[in-house]
Amino acid sequence: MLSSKLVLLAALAYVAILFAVAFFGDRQASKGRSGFLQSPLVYTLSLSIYCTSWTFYGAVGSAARNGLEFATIYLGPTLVFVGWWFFLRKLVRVGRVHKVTSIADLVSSRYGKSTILAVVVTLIAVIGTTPYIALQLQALTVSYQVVSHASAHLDPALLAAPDFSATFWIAVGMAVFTIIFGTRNIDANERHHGVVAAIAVEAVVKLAALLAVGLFAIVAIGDGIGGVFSGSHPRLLNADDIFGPRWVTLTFLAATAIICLPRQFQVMVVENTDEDHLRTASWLFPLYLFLMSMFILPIALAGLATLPASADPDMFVLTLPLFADQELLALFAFLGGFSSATSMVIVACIALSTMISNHIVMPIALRLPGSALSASGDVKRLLLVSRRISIGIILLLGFLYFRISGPSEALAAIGLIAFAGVAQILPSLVGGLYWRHATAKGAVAGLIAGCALWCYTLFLPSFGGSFLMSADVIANGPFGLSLLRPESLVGLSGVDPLVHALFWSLSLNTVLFTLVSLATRPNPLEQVQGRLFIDVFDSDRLDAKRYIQRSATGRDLFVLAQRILGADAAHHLFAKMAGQGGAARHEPVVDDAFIDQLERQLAGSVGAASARAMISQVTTGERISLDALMRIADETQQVIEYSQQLKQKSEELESTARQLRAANERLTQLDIEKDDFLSQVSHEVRTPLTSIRSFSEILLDEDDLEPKQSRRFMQIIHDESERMTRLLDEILDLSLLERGEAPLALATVDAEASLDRALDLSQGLASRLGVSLKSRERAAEAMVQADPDRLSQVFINLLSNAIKYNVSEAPEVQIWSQVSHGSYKALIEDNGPGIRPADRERIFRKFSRGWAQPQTDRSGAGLGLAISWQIMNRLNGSLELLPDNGRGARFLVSLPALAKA
Amino acid sequence: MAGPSRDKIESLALVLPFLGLFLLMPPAVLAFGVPAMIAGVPLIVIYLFAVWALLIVIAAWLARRLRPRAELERAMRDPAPTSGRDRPD
Repeated sequence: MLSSKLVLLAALAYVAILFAVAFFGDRQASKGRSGFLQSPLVYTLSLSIYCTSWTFYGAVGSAARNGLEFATIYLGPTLVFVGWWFFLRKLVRVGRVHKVTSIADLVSSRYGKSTILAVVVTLIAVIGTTPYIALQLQALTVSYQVVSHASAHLDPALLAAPDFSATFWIAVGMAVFTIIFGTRNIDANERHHGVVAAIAVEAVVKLAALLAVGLFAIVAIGDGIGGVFSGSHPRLLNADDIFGPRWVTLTFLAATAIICLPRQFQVMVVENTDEDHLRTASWLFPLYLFLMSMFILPIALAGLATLPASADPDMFVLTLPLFADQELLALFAFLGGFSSATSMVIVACIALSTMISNHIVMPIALRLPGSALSASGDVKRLLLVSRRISIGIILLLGFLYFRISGPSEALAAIGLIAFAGVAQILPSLVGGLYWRHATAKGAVAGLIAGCALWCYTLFLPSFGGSFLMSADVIANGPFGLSLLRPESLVGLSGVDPLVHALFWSLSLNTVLFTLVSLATRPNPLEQVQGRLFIDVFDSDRLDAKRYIQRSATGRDLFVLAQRILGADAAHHLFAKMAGQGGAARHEPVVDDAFIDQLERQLAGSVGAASARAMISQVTTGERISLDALMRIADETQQVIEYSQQLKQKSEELESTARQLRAANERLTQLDIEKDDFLSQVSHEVRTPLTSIRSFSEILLDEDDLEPKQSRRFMQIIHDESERMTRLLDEILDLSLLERGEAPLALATVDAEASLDRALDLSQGLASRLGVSLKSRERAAEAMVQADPDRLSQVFINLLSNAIKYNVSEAPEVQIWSQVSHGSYKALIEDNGPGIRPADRERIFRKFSRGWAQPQTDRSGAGLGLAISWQIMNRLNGSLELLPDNGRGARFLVSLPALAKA
Repeated sequence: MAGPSRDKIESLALVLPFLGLFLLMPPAVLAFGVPAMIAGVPLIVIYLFAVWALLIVIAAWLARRLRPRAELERAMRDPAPTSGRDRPD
C-alpha cells in the first residue's frame, strides 16, 4: 500500500531532479558547453512531448474501447517524419532562416508580417491548447488519487470527485518551473536549453515506465504474448469497423497535429539547434513512438481480462500493477504519467506565452500612446513580464476549464478535439510554403471560417449542452433548422462527429483560402516574404535587402535593439554585426543589408510582425522594389528562355554546319572538276602539239622532202594550230561566259533567221557526211531578245553535234520550231545512237562528249554544249536535253518570245 | 561500394511516406484484417507493427545516406554569415 505521503515525496523528489537538470542544462548552455544537450538524441527526445498523459493513460483507454484505432495517433507522425525530406526539412529551414518564434510568427511572417494573422493563429492555439492543459491537470490529479488512496483505483466515484486543491498546487508548481526556466531571458533565438534537458529526461522516464508496465502485463498477467491475446475480444480487432473513414481521418489528424501543435512547433522548429538533427529524428522519433505503442494493446487486454468491469480503462496503466500489489511499479508508472503531463504543459505554456506576448501584447503596446519612451531594455522587460503573466493565465485557464467542465469521461476525446482545432492552421501553413499565390486575406478567411466551423460542429457540442450551445440545438439545430444541426450539417448524417467536423471545417477552410487568395493580390511585402519562404533552399537569391530599401541612423537602431535585448546584448550584437561588415568596431555601416539583418535578429525575440513595426518606427523612406522582385520572378522564366535560345543557337549552328558540309562537298567536287578540266585541256592541247612537233621535226630533219609532201605537212601543222587556237578560244569564251563577262550584243532579232543561218552553214558539213537536214514545222517569225551571232553559234553547235555523231544507216537531222505561250522553242532531233543514260546528267559540262561514238575523228574538245548552255542561260533562255525516246538525241532550245509589234 | 546515387536516395525519401500511406490505409490494410493468428497474436497486429518497423528501418537507412553533402551546405544552414565573406550584391 502506497501512502499518499510517499507518493507526494516521490513526486517532489522527481520534480527536484527536474529542476536540477534544467538548471544544469541552462548553465552548460550559457558556458557554451552544450555539446550533449545539442545532440540529435536530445532533440528527438524533446519531440516526445507529443506523447502526453493522453498517450500514457489515454491510449490504453482508447485501445480498450476501440482496439487498434489508438495506433493512428502515432502512425500519422511516423509518416510525417519518415517523409521529412518533403515537408519538415523545409519547415525547419524556414524557421531557422527567419528566426521564427512560434507557429503564429511563421504564418504571420510568411503573409507579409501580418499582425492580424498572428493574432488569429494565437487565438486558435490558445483555444485549442487550454482544454488540452486541462486534460493533463485532470490526468495528474486522478492518477495521484488513484495511486495514493487505498482501493480507490477501483472506485468509479473517485473520478466524479477529484481533489481540486491538489490540481491547483500542481498547476502552481508547473507555472513556477516554466517561469523560471522558460522566461529567464530574451534571446535572439528563443531557445531554452534547460527546459529541453528536463523534457529529454522526462521522455526517457515515461518510455521506461510504459515499457515496464507493458512487460509486466505480458509476463506476469498475460502469461506470455500469446496469452494476452487469447481472450481478446474479437470486436477490438474487427478490421471492417476499424479501418474505415475514422482510421483515415485520425491518421491525417495526427499527422497534422505533429506539424501544427504549438508545443510541437516549439521543440521541432524553434528549439532546433542544428538542422541536421532532423535527419536522425526522421527515424528515431518514429522508433520512440513505436516503442511507446508496442505494449498499449497488451496492457489494455490484460486490464480488460483481469480487472473488474468497473475499473476505468484510462487508468489501466496504474491500476494493473496496483491490483497485482506491485506498488513500486505503480509508483514508477505514476512518475511516467507525471512526466508526460508536466513536459507537455511546460512546453505548451512556453509556446503560448511567447505567442501571446509577441503577437497580442506587443502590438497593443506599440499602439498605445506614449509607447515611444525608449528606456534601455523597456521592451525586454515588457516581454518578460507579459510572458510570465501569460504562463500564469494559461495554467489558470486550464485549471478553470477542468474545474468547470469537471472530470471528463474519456481523455482521448478532448485530445482529438484540440487536434482538429489546430489542424485549421495546416492549409495556410502548407500553402504558404509551397504556393506563390497564397495571400494574407486568403489565409485569414480560411482560418476564421475553419475555426468557426470547428467550434460549431465539434468544440461546443463536446460540452454536451452545458456551455454556450444547448442540448436542444445540438439535437435539432438552431431554431429547429435541421439542416444546421451541428453534428450533421446539410444532412450529412451517419458519420462519426469527428470525421464530420474535420471534413466540413478543413474543406471550407481550404476552399476559402484558395479562392480568396486567387481573388486578391498580395501586397509587396507579402510577395517578398512569399518568395523568401517558398524558395528557401535557393539561398543564392534569398536576400530581403535586395527588395527592401530604407534608411535609418545607426543610433536609432541601436536604441531600438537596446530596448528589446537590453544594453549588453545590444552592444554585443552591434559589435558582431559591425565586425561582419568589415567596418570599425561599434560603427556598423547602416545599409539595407544591415537593417534587414537587425530586423531578423529582433524578430527572433519579438516576432516578425512586431520587429517590423518597431523597425518601421525608426526607418524612413522605405521602398519595396517590386522591380527587383519581378526580376527574380522572371528569372525562372529567363532560364527557360535562355535554354530555348541555346537550343535555337545550336540548331542554327547545326544548319550552318550542314551548309558548310555541303559547300565543302561542292568545293571538293569543283576541285575535282578543275583537275579534270586541266587534264582535259592538257590532253586536248597535247594532241595537236604532238602532231605539230613531229611534223615540224620531219620538215627540219629531212632535207630531201618533196615539195608536195612538205606542203601537206605544213598544211597539217597549220590545221592543228588552228584547232588549238579554236580550243583555246573556246576555253576563254567559256570562262568569260561562266563569269558573266562575255560581251553580248543584245537586240530584238528573229530567232528563225539565226536558225536558218545556222542551217545554211551546217549544210556543207551535212552534205559531206551524207546527213540530210530536214526542216519540219517551223515558226513563221519569232522575235526574241538575243545576240543573233551567239544564238546562231548555239544552233550550229547543236546541228554539228547532231551531224557529226550520227552513225545510223540513213542519218538525218530534223528541226522543229514554234512560238507558244510566250516562248520560242526550237527542237533539233537526230536519229543517231543518242546519249548514254549515264552521261545525260553531265552532258552540259565541260569536256563531256556524251555521244556513243563519233562519226569522224575530228571531234571537238567537248566544250560546245557547255558554251551553248551558258549562252542560253545568259540570254534568259534554256537549253535542255529531252528525255530519251529511243530515237537519238533531242535538244530543245527555249527563249522568251516578244509579243509581236 | 558506391550504392545508389544521391538523386535516387532523395527520390526514395520523397516516396517513402506514400509507401507507408499505401500500406497503412484501406484497402491495403483490409487484406490483413482476417481472423488469423501467428504465435497467438492476431495477424493484423503483426502486420501493422511490421509495416511500422519497416518504415523506421528504411528511414534510418535513408538518413544515413542523406548526410549533408559538404561544408557548403553546413554553411548555408547557418543563416547568419559567420565571417566577413559576405557576397557582394
